[in-house]
Amino acid sequence: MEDMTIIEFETFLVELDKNIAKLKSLAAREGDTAASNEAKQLTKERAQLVEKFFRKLTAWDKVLLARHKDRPYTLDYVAALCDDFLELHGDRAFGDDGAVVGGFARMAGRSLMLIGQQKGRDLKERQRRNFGYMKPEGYRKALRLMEMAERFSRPVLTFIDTPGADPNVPSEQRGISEAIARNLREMSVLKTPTVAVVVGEGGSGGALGLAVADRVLMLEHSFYSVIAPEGCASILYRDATRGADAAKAMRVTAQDALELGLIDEIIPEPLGGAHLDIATTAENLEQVVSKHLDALTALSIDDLLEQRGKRLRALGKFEISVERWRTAG
Amino acid sequence: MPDWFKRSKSPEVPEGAFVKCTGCNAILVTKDFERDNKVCPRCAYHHPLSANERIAMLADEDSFVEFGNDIAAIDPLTFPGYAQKLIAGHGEETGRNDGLVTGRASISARPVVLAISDFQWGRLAGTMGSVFGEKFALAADVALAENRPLITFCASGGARMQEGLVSLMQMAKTSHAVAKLRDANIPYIVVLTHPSTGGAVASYASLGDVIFAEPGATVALSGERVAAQAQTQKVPANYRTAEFALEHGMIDRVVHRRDIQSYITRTLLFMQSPSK
Repeated sequence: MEDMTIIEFETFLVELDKNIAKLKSLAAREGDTAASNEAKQLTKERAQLVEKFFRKLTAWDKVLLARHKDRPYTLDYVAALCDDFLELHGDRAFGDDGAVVGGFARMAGRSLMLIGQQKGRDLKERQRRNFGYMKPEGYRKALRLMEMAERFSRPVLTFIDTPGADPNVPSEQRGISEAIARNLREMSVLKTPTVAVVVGEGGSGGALGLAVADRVLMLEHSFYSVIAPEGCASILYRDATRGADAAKAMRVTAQDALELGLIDEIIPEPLGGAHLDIATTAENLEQVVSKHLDALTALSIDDLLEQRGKRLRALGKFEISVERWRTAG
Repeated sequence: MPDWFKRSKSPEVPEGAFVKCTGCNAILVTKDFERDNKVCPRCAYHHPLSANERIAMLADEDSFVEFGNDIAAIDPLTFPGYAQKLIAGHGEETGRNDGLVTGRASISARPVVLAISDFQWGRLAGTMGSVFGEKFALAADVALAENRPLITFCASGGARMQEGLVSLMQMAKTSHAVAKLRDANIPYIVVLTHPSTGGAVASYASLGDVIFAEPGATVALSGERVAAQAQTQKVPANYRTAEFALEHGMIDRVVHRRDIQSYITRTLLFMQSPSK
């Protein structure tokens, strides 16, 4: 049990559940009290195992959970939370990027611009959405929508879930770097409240390109990293399979980010992960987001921008003294 | 054995009198090579320069006054091998604290702020950690407060992995610093040198009012290995270079190193009113 990853643990649970079901049906069919008792005992133990496992999730488990094939995506939250969602398309320059969705949303009695990175469920949709790797036109579409929100005084809510920005030739040709950089600059001074929620993978600059905000929140088992753990491992250990070690070294979990003062709050997930209970996850998310939006919309735009500017200016861990490294040398 | 058969003793060559060009293998006289700012006269290969060499060729003589050299990294994650690199960097002859060098200077008698990358420092590839971010933000603060143009030379592998998410946030910090300059109409000039990649070009280095680049410099979001793995199609010959970026409209000009000071001066001449 100790050495299992979350995915192996889930496979183990499936087997366990099969056994419990067998025992139960045996008990029902033949009135076998021993089987009935064993089923009850196993069910109890199962709950304890799950709780124990989730108390000790590793950074790598969080990475795997954030990438879980059943992990809720942006449109799942939209379906669970929005009374209305009018999706808008295109960057007005080149194309429409399926890896990001955005539009007018009604959520908990509030109109907002909702923009989120979107992976696909099946192979066909995954291809259409480029596995969540956004292209320049995606960042430009997102910025267009954010600027629209600014003009019509609506807050912006972004959902982050990407392995990273699209690194292919056409994206370099169309200025993927510039597109991200421009978003960072413009989001840092956007004249409307902004909240970003990392719901799955927070993959590097590709994630940050939608995540410069007044409040940055993370789901309990999401992760946020400067480089993919596998990428870090291939540099650090010359071995891309050591992602688990790299994830730990880089401290990629939501809990790490909170401790480092880089995010504002962690949104709890149901035991076992968001994918086991999307409705509860969505509800938790809505409550925390609404709380922050209430606080932000109460501020004047000047105060809002001043606070955001101070936050951004203060990012970083350093000290004003070089003694530590001089004397160490 | 007759004397004439013996190999004559080779003439004395002083140590370091010649260097070999990385681009074309030509043997160059070091003195000329340095006079040419380390550009090969035959193939125009632009060899790397230290921050001090950049400042010497760019700023008016003795005009550079450094600031921000008292800020130090704190290794927030106790990341494997990072402390050793920081110790090595701080122990270098330059006495610097990071791969970004910041200060006031004048160029053609115009007061400016410089933020110059030193790719070699601490063998950290000019990466953007907390000290980089703070020095860049300081440079922008000074530029804003004193109405001086900010000129930056980029040479960076991107965000500094060793500081984890803290370093990713330096992209947001530097981009916000640029936003403030932009709001105040303070000129911001970027020169991309080899290599300008990753988080650097996905933030402050792509946000110049004017962006120049040195010939042949690597300019790309993704690193070489990532790029090689990700490719599903044929790659253009000049892919991930300054010339590629120019061709696709991402930078203003590719500029030979000997001309960069003049290009910057002409840019400032346009952007600044005569009284300044």
